[in-house]
Amino acid sequence: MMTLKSQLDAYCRAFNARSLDAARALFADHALFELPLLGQRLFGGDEIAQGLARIFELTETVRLEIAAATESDRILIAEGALTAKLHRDSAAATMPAAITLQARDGKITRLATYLDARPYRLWTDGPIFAGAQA
Amino acid sequence: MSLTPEKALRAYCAAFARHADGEIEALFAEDATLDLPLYDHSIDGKPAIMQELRTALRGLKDIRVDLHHVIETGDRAFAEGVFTAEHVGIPPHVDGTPVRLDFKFVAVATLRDGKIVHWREYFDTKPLKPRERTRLYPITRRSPYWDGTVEAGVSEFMVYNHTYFPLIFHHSPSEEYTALTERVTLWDVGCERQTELRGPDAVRLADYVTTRSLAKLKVGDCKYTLACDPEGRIICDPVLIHPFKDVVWLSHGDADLTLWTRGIALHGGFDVAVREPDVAPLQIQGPKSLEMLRGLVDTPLDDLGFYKCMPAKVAGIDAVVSRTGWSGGLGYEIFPLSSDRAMELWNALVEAGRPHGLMVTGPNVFRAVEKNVTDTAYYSNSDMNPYEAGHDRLVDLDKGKFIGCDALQRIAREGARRKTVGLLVEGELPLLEWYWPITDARGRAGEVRWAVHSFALGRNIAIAVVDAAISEGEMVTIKHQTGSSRATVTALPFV
Repeated sequence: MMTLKSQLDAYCRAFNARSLDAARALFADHALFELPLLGQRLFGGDEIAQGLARIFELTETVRLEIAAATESDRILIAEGALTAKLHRDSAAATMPAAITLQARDGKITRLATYLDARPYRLWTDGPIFAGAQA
Repeated sequence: MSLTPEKALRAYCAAFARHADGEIEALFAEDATLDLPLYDHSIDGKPAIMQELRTALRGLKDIRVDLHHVIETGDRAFAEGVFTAEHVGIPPHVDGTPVRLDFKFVAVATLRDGKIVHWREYFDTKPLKPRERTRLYPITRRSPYWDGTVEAGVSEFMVYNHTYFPLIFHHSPSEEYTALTERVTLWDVGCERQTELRGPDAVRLADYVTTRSLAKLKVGDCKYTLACDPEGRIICDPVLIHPFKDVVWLSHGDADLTLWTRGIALHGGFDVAVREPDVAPLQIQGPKSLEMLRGLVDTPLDDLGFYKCMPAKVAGIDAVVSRTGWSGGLGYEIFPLSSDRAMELWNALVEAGRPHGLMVTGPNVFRAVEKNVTDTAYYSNSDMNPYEAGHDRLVDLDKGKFIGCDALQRIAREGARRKTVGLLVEGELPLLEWYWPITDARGRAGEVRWAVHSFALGRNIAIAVVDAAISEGEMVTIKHQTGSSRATVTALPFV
């Protein structure tokens, strides 16, 4: 049985390796995925995979680092940072981030990332991952 | 009693929702640190934390904090929750929907000896922004400080003198009001254009185009004045600046004053050149403006009187500095003599303001209405003349011939039909998108021309032009897009 922390570590490995298949395999069929860059909640494997694909497409590099995590029997809350360099930018931007994760039967049922996505948006302030809104 | 991390975290959230700043203060250690996405740096020390939190609380109402998950580990507590509130000072949308501040967050509290020593929150600031940016088009000019305002987080412009005017930034109204009234603010008013009159007849032409007597005008003087049309209607209310011999600038609001004045000069036999020079002003407004500018201006500012100006180098750049502005308090305007080094000047001001807590903002309409320093523009002035606008003192009927003098003499003789008054408004107001009609019990009419939340008075206020027979203390009804509101007529200024 995977612990919540081991599931978070697995997600970070898949995310940092830009591995869509590995990331998707971690989520339950009706999982909820939230990341401010995407502009909305993504529901289910297809939407999550589409959203992650859009992130990988628009970023030259992207990395999620976990500094500390704590968990109860229901939820894990972790602190860390997201570093991303978009193709349009000349340098990467790092923002403090927190992640909450819940799981059932060895699959992630909810993963929410909290960060201020301001540096990653266009100056016109629209959601940059417009494809995920379709 | 010493609090556990979880109890402290819950107590903070509950106190925040109740606006109980005293209870929040008691939770923090003296050397505590606050980290929020709203600020680019940590806020260190209980006094600084409380100053920020009190400003935040002043700008919010109907706060609710729901904690969905709380975990305690050693000296720390982690929580995931939802924050909901309404903005104070941002009117509801046109359909009456309040402007809300709702977001999900993670909060982490670290305790030492029962006190919070570190409070950190994680959330996306996008839902906190009042509005999206407007769409932009090249047919409208940009100020030379454009890059600076983008860097500072501008989110909405208006078009003013055919130029984008940065008005809304990524701050709450209460943050900007606090910065203006307690610290210092920098405004890009490059859209505030100068109608330059240069030549032997510069003062004579200015005297003919505007309503105040310039007989005693000296180099270094500024005057708030009016330009009227032949019917006595206000075209605009410029600040007249006399920075050099034979040079007058009419620093004007949203009106084609240069075209108007140039036409008059061409056919009026004045020995003068009229043009719009490359002079894009900046305003530095707030109680710390003098302190901030001292090190940047090569000429002592302390003796510069109200409505006086002087040539000076600001950050090594040739400029005219005046003690004028739109805040109703201490403030200065800088008029660089060219835009070639505009961003160099901007950056120097931002840097000089950093130790004083400078905030880049637009002009603060909340304070302008409280202080009754609003302006009037030709295309939206509802045919207002100076007497109706409360500007009697700005008209010198005996000074000799000037544009509008015949009409203004007649109006002065017969008495104005309307007058400008303050309104203390009951309840909430939507955004003033166009002037709201006013009636009273006897059917007398008027219209609201400005409406804001007053942070000084803690209520909504408005400025209106009404039937001259309406008196202070009378009740009127304002009709607006979400219904109607009652208001009491009062004197100006409000504070």
